[in-house]
Amino acid sequence: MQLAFGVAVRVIVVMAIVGVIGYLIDRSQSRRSL
Amino acid sequence: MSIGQIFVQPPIFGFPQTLHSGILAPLLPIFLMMDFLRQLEESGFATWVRESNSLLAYPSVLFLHTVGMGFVAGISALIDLRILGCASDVPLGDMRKFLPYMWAGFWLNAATGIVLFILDATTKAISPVFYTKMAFIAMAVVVAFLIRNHVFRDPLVDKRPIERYGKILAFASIVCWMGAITAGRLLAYVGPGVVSAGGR
Amino acid sequence: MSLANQAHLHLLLNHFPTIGTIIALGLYLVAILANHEYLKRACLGIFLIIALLSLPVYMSGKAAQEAIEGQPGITGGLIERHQDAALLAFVFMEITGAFAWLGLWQFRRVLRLARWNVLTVFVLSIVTFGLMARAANMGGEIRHPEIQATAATEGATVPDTEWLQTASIASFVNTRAWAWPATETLHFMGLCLLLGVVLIVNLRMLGVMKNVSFSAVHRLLPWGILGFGINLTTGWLFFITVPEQYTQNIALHWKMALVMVAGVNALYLTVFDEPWALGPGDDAPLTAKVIAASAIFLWLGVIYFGRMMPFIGGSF
Repeated sequence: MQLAFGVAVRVIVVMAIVGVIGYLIDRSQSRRSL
Repeated sequence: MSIGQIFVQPPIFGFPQTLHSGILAPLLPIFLMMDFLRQLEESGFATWVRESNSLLAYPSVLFLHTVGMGFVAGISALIDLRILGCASDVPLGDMRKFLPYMWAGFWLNAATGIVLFILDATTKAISPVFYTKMAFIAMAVVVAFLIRNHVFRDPLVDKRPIERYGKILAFASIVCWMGAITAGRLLAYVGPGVVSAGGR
Repeated sequence: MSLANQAHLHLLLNHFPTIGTIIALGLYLVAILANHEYLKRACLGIFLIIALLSLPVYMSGKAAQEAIEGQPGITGGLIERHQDAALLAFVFMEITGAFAWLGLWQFRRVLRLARWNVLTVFVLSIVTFGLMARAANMGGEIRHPEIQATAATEGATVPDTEWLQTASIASFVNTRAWAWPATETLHFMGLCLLLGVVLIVNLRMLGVMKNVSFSAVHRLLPWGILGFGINLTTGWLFFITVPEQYTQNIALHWKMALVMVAGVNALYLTVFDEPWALGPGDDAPLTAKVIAASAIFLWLGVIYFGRMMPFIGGSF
């Protein structure tokens, strides 16, 4: 179970970082009607 | 002796008594079910999928399960990200058109998942990781229906900002699918029946 | 592909991240000085393609190592040093490629290249070229003792001074029980992000969700690139941790070939006029539909060969 917890925590951390990066890139494009 | 070890041993003298009247009595239904699961596991179909050298057997089931995962979790994730405010150029209401593809992935995985379960039924049925995965999937499906009702069925969906409840649902959906994927992968590493370093 | 053929491939392809980068860099400098937008964009495209090509360069390098290590006249330490220097250069090459793609994507949306992006790619590509040249020089030393700076001969120990050390990273993954499963889980999540975007964007071309313009779904592409980036990183981690499982795995070779082709598709979707012109309610032209359908099949093929690595490749 310790293994499962270790995996889950690290996966969450990495995906959270990815999510933040993606969100920032997305926000850099404010709505433009092109 | 762990619970798991008890169930993968063949019945031994004195063992049935413990099930009928002793401390293990509440587990009797599971034990009876184990017989059925063992039959499934030893059936011709399951044996063929598991032991055939054909690429159309176990490898193909795994492949299709991966594709289904990509369809269901991928499309769901993008809809959820849109609800959370990303890619706001895409009208959310129109994304409904992708829901059939998402559900196609879901059903593909339900079918391939049943096959994968049968291959190893007696072990999976007593695996906490397996039930964790099923729980995440069940929650993801419930959340998907809630999103359909509260977000997609809102007639003003693209005319006003999405309310907080919708965003919470979207976030929950992402978490549930991530949980399902993680638990799914951990099946090879944690729980009964894991030989050594699983997937490698 | 045999180890020997891959070694040959390595010698052939490694010219791209080295000579290709300096040519692109030179053109880019000219484009910046002359303020020539189209040429700038062309250079961004070249950087992106070179970043893609660097994947088989790196992987064939590993195979080349396996092909020649232990032979007389070959110093294992020199190969390790070259590999580590190449890794650092590879990381910067991919980062440069990512920023180049971002610039191209943003250009499509705001009709001009963001100045910060032009500058960032320029600086990154200079650093990348420097690191590539250094790695290339070390690579040359493996077979050409005549260019070695010192009188060090075979058997002499090579200092362990590289910033990124392949052996340390591989050892890290090997010694922590959580590392491999976590990497696999992330690889699956990247797959989902990537395939989700591939499906939405290409199915739009095929007619699903037709009253949405392509320019709207174009906004989803960075999420696909993020998914790809996760899988590139995790895939690389798998590769350097247990290379013997991969260097001669035919399924992986096919997978990477398909990834290369699918990568070109990403360029098409990002910058070409044909998809961009698709407005709300428009039906895509036949060529666009063929490209869209083949893109979906390409990525399904990538998943297929990825899943088949233990079975077709047979080395697990």
